[in-house]
Amino acid sequence: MTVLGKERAKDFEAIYAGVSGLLDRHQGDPDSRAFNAFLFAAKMATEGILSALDDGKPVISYNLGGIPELLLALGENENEIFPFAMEKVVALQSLVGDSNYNMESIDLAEAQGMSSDVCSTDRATIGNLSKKILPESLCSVFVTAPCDSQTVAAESIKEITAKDVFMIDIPHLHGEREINYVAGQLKEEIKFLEEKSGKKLNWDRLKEVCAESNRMIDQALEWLELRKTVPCPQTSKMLSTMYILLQDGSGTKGGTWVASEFAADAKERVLAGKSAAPGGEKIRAIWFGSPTWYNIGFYEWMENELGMVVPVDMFSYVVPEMYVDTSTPETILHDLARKQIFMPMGRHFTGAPEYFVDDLLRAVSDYKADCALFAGHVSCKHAWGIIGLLKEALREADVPLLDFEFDLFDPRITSTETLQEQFRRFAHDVVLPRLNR
Amino acid sequence: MNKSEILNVFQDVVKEPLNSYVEQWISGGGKVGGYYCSLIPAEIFTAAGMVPYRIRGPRSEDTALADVYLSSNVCTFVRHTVNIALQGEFDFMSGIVCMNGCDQARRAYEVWKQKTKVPFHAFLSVPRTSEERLLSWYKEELEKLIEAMEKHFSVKIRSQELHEAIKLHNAARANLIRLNDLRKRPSPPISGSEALTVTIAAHVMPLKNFNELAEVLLAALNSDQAPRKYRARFIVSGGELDEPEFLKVMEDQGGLVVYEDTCFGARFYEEQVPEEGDPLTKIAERYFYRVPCARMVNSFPARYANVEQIMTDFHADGLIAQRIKQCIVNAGHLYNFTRRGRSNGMPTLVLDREYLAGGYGQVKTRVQAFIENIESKSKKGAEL
Repeated sequence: MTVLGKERAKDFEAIYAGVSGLLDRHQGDPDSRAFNAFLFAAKMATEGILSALDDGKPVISYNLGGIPELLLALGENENEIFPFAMEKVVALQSLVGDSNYNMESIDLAEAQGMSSDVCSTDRATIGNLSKKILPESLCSVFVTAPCDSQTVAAESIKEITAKDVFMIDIPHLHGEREINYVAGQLKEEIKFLEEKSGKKLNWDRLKEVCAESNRMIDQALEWLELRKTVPCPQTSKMLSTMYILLQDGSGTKGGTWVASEFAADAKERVLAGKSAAPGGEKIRAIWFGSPTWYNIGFYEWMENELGMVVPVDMFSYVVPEMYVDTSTPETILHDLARKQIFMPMGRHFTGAPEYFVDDLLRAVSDYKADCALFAGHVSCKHAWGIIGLLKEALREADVPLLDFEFDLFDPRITSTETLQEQFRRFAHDVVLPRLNR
Repeated sequence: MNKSEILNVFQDVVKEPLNSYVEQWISGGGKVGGYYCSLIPAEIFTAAGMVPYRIRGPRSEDTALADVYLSSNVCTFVRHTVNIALQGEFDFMSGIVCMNGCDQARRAYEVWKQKTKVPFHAFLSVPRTSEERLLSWYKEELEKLIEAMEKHFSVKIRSQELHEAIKLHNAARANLIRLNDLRKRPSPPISGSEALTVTIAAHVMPLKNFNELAEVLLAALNSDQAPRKYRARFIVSGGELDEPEFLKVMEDQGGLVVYEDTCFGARFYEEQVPEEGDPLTKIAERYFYRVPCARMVNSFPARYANVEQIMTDFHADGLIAQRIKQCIVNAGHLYNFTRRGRSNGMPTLVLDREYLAGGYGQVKTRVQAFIENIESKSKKGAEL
């Protein structure tokens, strides 16, 4: 099969064919408006990577915890640089392509000596780099969030690519002193990017990019507000895609459009009185931790089989602190630093445990949830490292908790069937009896 | 005292959480400050009138209490040390300082803070790259730590106290550097497991006592010209390694460990703090810029160059890069060591292990095979 008339790496063909097929299948399905918007974005993202590969467009890579605004504002004209979120390929492969390609990449990285303790996201990315299927970057900008795996992967990626890395250090706490510290690093990052790309940062464009980012946050917050409705109007599987959107689509019109489709779909469904659970909503659960991206259909199984819906999760936890005041270059850098720190996942996994625990308890309250789900990706040592304190906090708040271990990209760690059994027992033996008391 | 008598003293010091020297210090009214990572300057504890004590897990056999809070997904080093703390065996400490050394150790801090009786807690947010642009943040973190310690312990940590502390720590580092230099000899007067025992002792006992013992030991070792038989000389690299018995297993197979590029090893004593200039600035610079560890990004090329230099200086035949299972930060550097070893031919053995696991059956087999591999390449074995 060829894509855009040219022979491609098989890996990309799988993504492209997958996303195209899903779009064809769901076109015109009124229940799939939000998901179709995400698929459309995924298709665009894939084409972006392919044209970067074909046209030799300058590429600058960034990692999972990063945001693209500064990269989008480099150069005189729009789109002079292609900001490339390296792990996006792994996520897209899993969500809309063929996850067997991720397995191959994971296995390749391990065969080359990368420990299976390191996050599968990073192992798959390192495998993809070894396969030489990713666009070559001028340099990379990485952040030390959300975890050690991301941080050490930066060093290994540098070893493989021999390209310079600018590291943004995300400190332990998230207060004003820490925001100013990161803002100072963004100034240094600009110097680094200008030197490596030979392009000056266009401050007027940065202002526009940030204004566009703010419009996406507007839509995301409206969407989350609508998802508080009982019954939850929209399928749980949309939630984790918000993270990809924030990471990859911030500052772009396309990203804002997708977020607006999420919100419009939710609004339409609220007005029509529709529920995410076809047989009726029985349990509302807050999912904190990583999503089951190796099987995104798991969420639909929860809704169909258990009547369990997730109105909000960690990956969709957008907060007003992510707005950027575009008044001056200083306010922009300050607020981009704050946005960087407050990105979902990074905000929860770095720093003190209360950042995780308090947001989870707040979500339980704000979204009228009946229980919490600790989705423990095996490599998330920071998350497993607070499990005892989390259990105590939830016991005190009288919130039932299911904690389970899995790998977000690798079904070989915990199968769907095993997870389903755990969820069935939790729903039938713990949560429903409480609700029916 | 002769060599073996002094080594026995050091072995006693490292085998229990509370050693006799610390016990004596506390009974005289002294305070002890615990810490977890090589990037926390021990000089600050000394300047506060405390004995710095690097947290480790000697004699621990179980992690059940720690598993309640940390789960079995966290590394065994962190779980054993937290378990000891939860058992109350570290209650002799007056305070603990942690940092974001890794995701797992920073979570340990919360358990210490919320679930132990240790009264003072402080946390340093240390940058993940030792670039000049971030040095001022690190120094500010140290200033905040000093302020918190002064307030809690009602002490003054001024330039004078820091200067005195630097002198004491430099003396200990000088002794350890001298000890390590002896290991460059064709027949080193001390084995790797013995040398590591001495270095660990420096982390957990009053340095005044340590220096007195170390000087006697050095005098004894200097005159020791006895031949030592071995089949291959190794550098051991990695993060946490405070188990001399792990090195002994390697040495029992015919290897000789001549250098520990580890947190309880050379990372502790390499490079002095200059005694001229503002003491806190000098402390900050020494710790921040010293040969980097695996948690620091943009550090591997410098670290590898350092390892190559050590290989030459200590006449090593191979590199054993090891880590405790679940240690993510060292997994990254081990991957990089593997890649470099494959491309430049440096004999490299990568080992995963559990903390305090004992047994070491697999380690024995793999080290034996590594030695045979080195011998077949270098024909060094023929000289024995």
